[in-house]
Amino acid sequence: MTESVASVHERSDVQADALPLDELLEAGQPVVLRGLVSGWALTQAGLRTPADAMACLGSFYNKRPIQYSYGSPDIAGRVFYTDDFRAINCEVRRGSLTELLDELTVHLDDPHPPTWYMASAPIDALLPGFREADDLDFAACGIDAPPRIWIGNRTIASAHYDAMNNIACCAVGRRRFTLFPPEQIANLYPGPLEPTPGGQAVSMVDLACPDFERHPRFRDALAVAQSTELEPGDAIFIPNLWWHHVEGLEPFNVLVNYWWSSVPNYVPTPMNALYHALWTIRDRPEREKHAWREIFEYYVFGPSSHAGAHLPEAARDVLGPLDETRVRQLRAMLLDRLNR
Amino acid sequence: MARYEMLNNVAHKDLRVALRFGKSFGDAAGMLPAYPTEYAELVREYPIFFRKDNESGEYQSVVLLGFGGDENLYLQDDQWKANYLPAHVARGPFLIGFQEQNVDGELRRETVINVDMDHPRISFDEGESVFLSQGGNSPYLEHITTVLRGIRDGLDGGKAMYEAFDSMGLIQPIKLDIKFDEQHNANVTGLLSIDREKLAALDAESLHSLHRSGYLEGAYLVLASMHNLRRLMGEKQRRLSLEEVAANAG
Repeated sequence: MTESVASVHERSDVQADALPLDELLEAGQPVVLRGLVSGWALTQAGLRTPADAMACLGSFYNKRPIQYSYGSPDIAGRVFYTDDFRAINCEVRRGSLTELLDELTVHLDDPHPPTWYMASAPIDALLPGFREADDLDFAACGIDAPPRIWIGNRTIASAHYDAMNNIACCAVGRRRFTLFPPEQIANLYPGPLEPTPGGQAVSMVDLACPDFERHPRFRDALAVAQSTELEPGDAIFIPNLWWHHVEGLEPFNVLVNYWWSSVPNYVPTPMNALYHALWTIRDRPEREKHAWREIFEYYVFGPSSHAGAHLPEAARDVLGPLDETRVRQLRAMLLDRLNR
Repeated sequence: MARYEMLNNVAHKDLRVALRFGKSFGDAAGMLPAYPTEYAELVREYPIFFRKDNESGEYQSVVLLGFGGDENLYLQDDQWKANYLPAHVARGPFLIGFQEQNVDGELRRETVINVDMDHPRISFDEGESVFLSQGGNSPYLEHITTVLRGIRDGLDGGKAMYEAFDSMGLIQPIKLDIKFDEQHNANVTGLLSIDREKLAALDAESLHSLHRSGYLEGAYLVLASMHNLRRLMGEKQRRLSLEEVAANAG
């Protein structure tokens, strides 16, 4: 399937201590950053053997309990839904990282292993000290982007988007990323908003074996898809809201990723606004919806200063620039209005 | 029996809580668990003591409401005669539950509100609404949330405070041997309190550590609450004389 798909743009000049974040955001396109973390101790350990990489992780582990997914061998790594779409096809288990690594070791040579996957665990909470040697220097850009770690075998995360910008580093194993621009949403047939396999709605299309009768528009998405395979030490920049389908390709894969927002902390995810709009706008008559589209275009989607520009500065209120104080007032007003 | 459910605005949308008082609501009790977070309120109206659980060896705070098993001298007809209602009663059918939740990839023990659907105060036609008509939180529920938070913080913080008191030998048994009149007296045992003399004799270091942790105030509030015993005795004497008048009239 991926043979006809375009390749993600690549560069190999980026260093872990000099991230060109502004440049990446400005371009707004996915970019493979070859060799970005090839110097990491974890990467080097993994290039020797999986056992070395596991020992490296184990040396930082503070024994805190973890939560991970277990899927039976028949899901073949695809963390997805049960047939009725009411539940996830994996079981959430609690345990220790040591147990998870032991299970992964047992099944290293198993052609049909169960799925083991710890997704998105905060490194600082689990592996204190890890970042002393292996880290990307987001702090140099004045950005707090605490890294997360993803450990598993041949897992498949169905296409989804995240609200944050992402640099994902393939430290151990190999990973294939297939990316779709945000405007492909309708051609990707998004699933339920709740529950989800990983916190975000995922595409219902099985990329390994697309059913074009059920999902005919997926052909249009494929036509503009980009894909790449990351080797140990490679990373990828994924602009937020780009859909990404991610496959672990080895019996042991470790990814470390950094999410960061392009807006201040006090700006929450637009998903809240989306839920609110589903509730308050979606089911109105077409004429009203059309009018609301114009209203949102005027206040929200047009230039930020648009709706306030013709008013005296003192009269702009929320139509002027929003700061931390003003959003506190907005929050209180919304909480009060919603509590009915 | 209790039937606990996690409170939510769909399953419990019409839930109300009766705020009257009386025996049928389980209010006839001579003693109630109390929490250090409410000492400052309790001290105005209730005598505060400690009790020790013989099995676990753990201390807890209590307020004394009367002088015999189920005598509650604050209870009059269907009213609770005090300005402050102890958190243990004010919480009604609600209690704190814990749920392990995955918050941003980290396992955390999150508190939730549980409701005992078999509690005598549960109602669907009288009392305070828990949710507003469209599912928002009612002012009563906001109040309950505050009460429950006080109980949780009091339980968490109380343990360390009792341990500090105990390690300094400040907790001493107290015997209440009270004579109301010629015929009536009461004898309440099993209560503990702060030993005033030992507290006064603490060395500077112990005193400083109690002060720094905020427990010194707790110790003095418990001591100060003793004056409420007079109020309790006065109410008891008033009720006894009413009984006497009634008996003579009969």
